[in-house]
Amino acid sequence: MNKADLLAKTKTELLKIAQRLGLRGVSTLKKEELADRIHDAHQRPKGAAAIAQKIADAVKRRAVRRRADADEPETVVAKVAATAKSPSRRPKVPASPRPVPAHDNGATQPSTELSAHKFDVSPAAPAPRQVFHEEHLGELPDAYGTGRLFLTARDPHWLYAYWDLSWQQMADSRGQASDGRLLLRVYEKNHDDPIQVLTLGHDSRNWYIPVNKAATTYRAELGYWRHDGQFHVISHSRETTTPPDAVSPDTTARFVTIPIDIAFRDLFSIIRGHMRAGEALADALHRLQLAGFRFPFKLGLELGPWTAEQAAELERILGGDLFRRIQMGSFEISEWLRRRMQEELSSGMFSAFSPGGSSWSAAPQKGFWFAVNAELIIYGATEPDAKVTVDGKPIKLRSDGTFSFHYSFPDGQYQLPVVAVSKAGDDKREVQLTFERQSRAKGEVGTVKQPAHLKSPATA
Amino acid sequence: MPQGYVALILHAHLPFVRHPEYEDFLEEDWLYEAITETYIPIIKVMEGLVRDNVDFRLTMSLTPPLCSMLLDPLLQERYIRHITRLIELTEKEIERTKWDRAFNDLAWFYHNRFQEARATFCDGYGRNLVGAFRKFQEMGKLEIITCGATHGFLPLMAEHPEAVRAQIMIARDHYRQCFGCDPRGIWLPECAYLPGIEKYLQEADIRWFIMDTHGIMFGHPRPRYGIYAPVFTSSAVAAFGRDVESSKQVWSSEEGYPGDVDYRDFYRDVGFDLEYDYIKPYIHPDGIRCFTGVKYYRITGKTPNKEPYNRHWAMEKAASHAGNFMFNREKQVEHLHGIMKRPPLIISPYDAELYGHWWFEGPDFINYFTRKVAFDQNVFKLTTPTEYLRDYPTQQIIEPSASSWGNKGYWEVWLEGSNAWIYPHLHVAAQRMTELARNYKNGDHLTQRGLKQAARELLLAQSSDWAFIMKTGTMVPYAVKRTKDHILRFTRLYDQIKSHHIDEPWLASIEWRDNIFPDVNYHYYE
Repeated sequence: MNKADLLAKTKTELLKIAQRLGLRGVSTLKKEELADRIHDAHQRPKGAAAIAQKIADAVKRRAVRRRADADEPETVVAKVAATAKSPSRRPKVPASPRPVPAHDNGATQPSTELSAHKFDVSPAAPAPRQVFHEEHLGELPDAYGTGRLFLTARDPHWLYAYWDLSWQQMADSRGQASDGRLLLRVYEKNHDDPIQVLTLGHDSRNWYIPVNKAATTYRAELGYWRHDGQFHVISHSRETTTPPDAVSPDTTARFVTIPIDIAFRDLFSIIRGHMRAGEALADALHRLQLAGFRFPFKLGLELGPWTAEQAAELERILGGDLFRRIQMGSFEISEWLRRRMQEELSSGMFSAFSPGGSSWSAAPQKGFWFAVNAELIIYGATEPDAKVTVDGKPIKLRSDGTFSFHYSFPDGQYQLPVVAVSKAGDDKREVQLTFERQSRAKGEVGTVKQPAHLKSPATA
Repeated sequence: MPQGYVALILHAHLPFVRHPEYEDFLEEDWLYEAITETYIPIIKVMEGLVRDNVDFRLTMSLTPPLCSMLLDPLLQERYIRHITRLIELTEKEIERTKWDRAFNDLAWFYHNRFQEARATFCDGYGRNLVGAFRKFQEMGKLEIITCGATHGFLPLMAEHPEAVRAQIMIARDHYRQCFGCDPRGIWLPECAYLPGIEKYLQEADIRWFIMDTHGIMFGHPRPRYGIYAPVFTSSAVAAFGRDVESSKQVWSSEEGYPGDVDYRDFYRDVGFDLEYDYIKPYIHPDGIRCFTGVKYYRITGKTPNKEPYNRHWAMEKAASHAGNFMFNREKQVEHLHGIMKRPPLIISPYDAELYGHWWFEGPDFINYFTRKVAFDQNVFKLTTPTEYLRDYPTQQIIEPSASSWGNKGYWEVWLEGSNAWIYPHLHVAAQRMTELARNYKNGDHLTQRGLKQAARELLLAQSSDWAFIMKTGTMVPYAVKRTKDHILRFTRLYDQIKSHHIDEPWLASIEWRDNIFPDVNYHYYE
């Protein structure tokens, strides 16, 4: 769009265009200034140049990533070693729990790595990204300085903690400490002595903490020893409870009838005045149903008998499934699927580095192989307003009158009449093309080849 | 009286990806592909079942971001552009393959299929697929449930109960707008449950949710019937546990149905296979090769030489797998009924996009399965959790265990080296949102606009999809960018609202970009 075209539009229209282009701070501009901004925006690199730029950017990013990798070779080695020797079971509690700074975390969780590789379905190719429209939002802060100590049980055997202290706050606190150290103390509920005391590194902001007990409540505090010998707490975490990792030994069973078509608020009204302080709805309903309270709905369905034999038989079925689940990793296939959904597009970008050729032709193969196929391209040109048919079917000419057509070309003999008729219909040219393909292979030669970087589900 | 019940549950979700500021945006294709390959085929299956008077029950979660995208005029317009381009490609393919019978048949197959998809989308339902699903719910065949407002990972926001509450209440409100009634069930995002979450479900009058197996099995006290009956939490909200056996038959990469040699190969796509200049108009406008959805080969086997897809064989196989799945459920139900002396319930939840998008024949499998269940056996009946609870309102009271359906069953997928950095930001933003909602509840119109947008930015930042993508290691820059953008927009709004200097043109521009939940009620954060 040139300047004159832009100036012919109303300011409202221009504002819309500017908005579409993601131009910011334009609403106060005069119409001419606005047209200038839009015009400039349109002059930005486009088409092939833009793609080249994106590829260059991606390559640059990749180089940066490589440099980053090179900076941390120990981490990589540690990961490999840990992967090799660890079974893909649910993490066992280490004999002597060793806290792990968050950035080393990968080294201690090999089974995730393994299961991730199992479902590697596409190459981890660097993807050229779109150039995002800039909003000048700035960067996220390193910390907000709220002093919060967050603690959560990530699974039955690991806690995760982070603390929101600025570098300055951390440095100041260290300065106050008698030994210059900041400590994270982890407690089991109802115990006065910490089960773990961790010295925080200067650059650490979070920590993964292995713990012994599932179904146990923990809390933590962050602080330091003052010069007067007292422990100063900067921040307390809330309590967090590790989930159980086994079937409960408690086999008591309470049953309750709760009709789905009676809204919770109506259930509350029915038993209003009969609920005890702090009692939950289902517990109250259960108690009142046992006590013979009259409910306006039918209670209890005949439950079957329940014997030790039944319980044992059901546990046998479920135990097997649960065991398998733990071995498999829960719902890894779900991840696999979703991951693949995300990868399909990025794997598309893989070939952007060789747009002229097929994307897999240079991929290394195990064993030797050969695949050959043929396509036929018909191309030509005539007056742009002429009518052209190929094998009787009208085709669309490009604006300069050229055309091209692709055919897959298996073995066989083919006739292809191509006809052009002038716009006025008074002139007609015709050509009859005849093709024959015969393939004679020696040894195994295929016609198509699965791209090496894409595995089929059968082989995944 | 059947001996037991089976409930198929499909979780349909995509993160909110909508970029009006770009003419084309690669990640929007997630939606377009899912529409063509999953949502429309499932709708067509239900249409056929209703037409043929087959009594069926199916449960689907349609998440608020997915419904928002399906109802968005810009994305609807872009979907039509997308499918029209594909139809044009198949027209060329019909010509190109004229001397190659197998491929020519397939080109016609896709051509007809895409035209049917466009007709279903445009003419059948006036671009409104949410309305299509709603129609089947109103017929009593499909039960639609909700999810967290933006698929936020609830256990990791539990320190800010207002944020958990808002995820649930805003989802409930959105569901009412979409479906004209209250949701009875919810798919907790990533099936992630932490004891206490059910209190917010009770407030929303949501009656049940789905858990992974161990969430029920490791509950306290021990669940008498394992995962073969739901349990009531103390808040009176029911929890249903996933059946491992039936899930494995479909999901497992080794034993699962989708890997069969006669099924369509997902990876061979003309977007990669065909000559560059020819295919260029149908791949990404920047010239990046990508999947088009036109795929000509079957899985074939552990061979690099793939054979052409044969639709007839694939349908035969889908029917036979459906028969096998039904047979196994019959045996499972009979066996469990023999032990339990009451009808067991088998809960089989899957990602909806597995069906059709990944497993191309998946919707046909559901079609055959449903028909066979109706006509070829009488051991079990299909049901939905709501229907089951209506028939069986007496259940055991249990406190379920914290759990998720992610790898290893807890929080690790969403809390590990690649993505743990997001939580300090999400937590501060949640805390600030509550502060804003409490302090500015009577603000002027512009302030209220600011508060609504702040809520939208926080919600969008909370999508568990971003952490998931960071962990899986592809498309990471996009997920990082989305997290940062929403947090930074939130932070700027927070500062502007507090200083009473809202930059209205900028606010208008982000309202235009992040337009999810037009009527978002920020009072839930108070």
